[in-house]
Amino acid sequence: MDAALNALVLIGNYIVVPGLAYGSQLALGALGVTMIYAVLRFSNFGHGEIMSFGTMLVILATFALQDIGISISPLPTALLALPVGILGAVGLCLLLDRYVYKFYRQQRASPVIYLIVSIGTMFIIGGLIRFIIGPKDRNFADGERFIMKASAFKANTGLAEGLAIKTAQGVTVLTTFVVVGLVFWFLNYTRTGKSMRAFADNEDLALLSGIDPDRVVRITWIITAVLATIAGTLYGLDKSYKPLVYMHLLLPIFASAIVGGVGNPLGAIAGGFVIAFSELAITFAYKKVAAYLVGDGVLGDGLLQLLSTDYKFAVSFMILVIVLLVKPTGIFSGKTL
Amino acid sequence: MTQHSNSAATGPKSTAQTAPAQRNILLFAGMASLLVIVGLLQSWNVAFSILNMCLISAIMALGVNIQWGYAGLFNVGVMGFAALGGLAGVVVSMPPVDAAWAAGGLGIIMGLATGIATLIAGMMVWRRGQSWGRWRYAATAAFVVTGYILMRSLADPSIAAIEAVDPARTGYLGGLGLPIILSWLVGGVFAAAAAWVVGKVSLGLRADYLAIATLGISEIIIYVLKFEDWLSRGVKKCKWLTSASSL
Repeated sequence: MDAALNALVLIGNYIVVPGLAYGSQLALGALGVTMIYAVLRFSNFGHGEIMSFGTMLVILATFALQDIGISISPLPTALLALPVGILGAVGLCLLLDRYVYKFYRQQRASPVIYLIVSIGTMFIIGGLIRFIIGPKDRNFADGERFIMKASAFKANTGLAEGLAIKTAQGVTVLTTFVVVGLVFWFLNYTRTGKSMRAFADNEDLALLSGIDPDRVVRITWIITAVLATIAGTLYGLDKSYKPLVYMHLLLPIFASAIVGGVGNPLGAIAGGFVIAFSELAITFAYKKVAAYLVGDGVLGDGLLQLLSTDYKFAVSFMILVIVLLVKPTGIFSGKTL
Repeated sequence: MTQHSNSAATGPKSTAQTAPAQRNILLFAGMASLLVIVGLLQSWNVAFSILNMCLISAIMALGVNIQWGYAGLFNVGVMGFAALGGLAGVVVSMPPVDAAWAAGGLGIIMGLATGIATLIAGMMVWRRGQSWGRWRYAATAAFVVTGYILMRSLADPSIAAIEAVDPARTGYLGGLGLPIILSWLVGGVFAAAAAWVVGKVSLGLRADYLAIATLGISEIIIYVLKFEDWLSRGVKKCKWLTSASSL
């Protein structure tokens, strides 16, 4: 019995808890990508850098707050600094839309043109970020590090394996829950949210019924920037901030959005968790789990790992490719925003 | 390119045709003088390496240009194909490592054969199972995962053995030791095979899906070349490639 429990705790500690946190971060990111896609009808390659930009501002504000000695311990100070990052990211997105995307919208450019434009913005924002904060790794998580330490768990339950929950992971899951709830409430129950859905469903009809397209586009960018900053900050709290990482995060985020069905908010969230859990479950070494369940060395002395952790990011591309092959519309097809 | 063909097709005036030509000559002359300035002020080595990079980029851009312009396919994954060309150079022209072949050649071949058999079996199950509903996914997944585990259990000990053979200098299977000029052909075949897979996956999707799919696939190719040390030496250099292979 103990052996089974130990195996369960092991999986919980290395797959379920990190998967929930990582999945939430991907889900928030994918939600932004999917909303841009639904309303503006292009895949925004700049999304990772928008996340990074917002997070950078949060970090700078966190450092300033730490300097004057304000903190909300045990929670990380970054949560207090979040509004600064959100404001900055919203400003950036609105500026980009006003001076870059609006031009192409008026020309009714094809999605591929938009895509290349967004790659251009990606490089510009990326350069700006490295100019301001530099390419170095930065750790800005403060406050209590753990909600539950592995040693405390071991002492309380008497099991050999520990289950640790980091504060950042707990904060991530809770925040995501609240934010996603708010977004869905906004889309389903407010006038503006409904007009956004109408615009996404059928642009011409929405225009005929008097919806102001510029306003819808602006609000979409604002929501995207808010989501991106929150997702980026949570990811940075969880894993430490490094500008280049956010560029690598872009493909798992796209994979999440496409796996769930692009343009579908519910799908983006489901996709985020699918990608996160597959990444972790496929690259996890099951050697110790097997040792608890069937005895040490019964299944040979390999690591019992489907793919080495080198391929962590590649897993999301593989899922992407498989989904595009088998069901190109994603899991939650049919519905749009 | 497109500008030229457009203006030619619409029957332009002579000034419209000469102007771009003159501009192109000017642009090329400007670039050449920049290279000369680099050569004079910095060093000719730098100038030639920049020129070299320019030419390589130009060839890749020409490929994208043709594919996008004529076929309308926006391929972001060119670097994956370029990486396959590099792999071809290693596989064709590096001297074979006999010790590595002795240590794990058989296991690798058996593993690869199992992998291919798994793919074929998976595709057959997928085709047969059109009427199975949800069982179709489950059966295909079961076949593929079993085959994959079998492949790994066959190939893993061999991979470890190969990578243990003098890891500082070799640690991989080596190539065929043939002249490097053949690697262009082989690289073309590799890239064509990859392109077939890409096309199978992503043709018929919207243009920006195609871009993401090609990007993903080329990233997978690059990951494989980076981490499968037994095949390509991973991120380590194959430094005899230039000296050992003569035309």
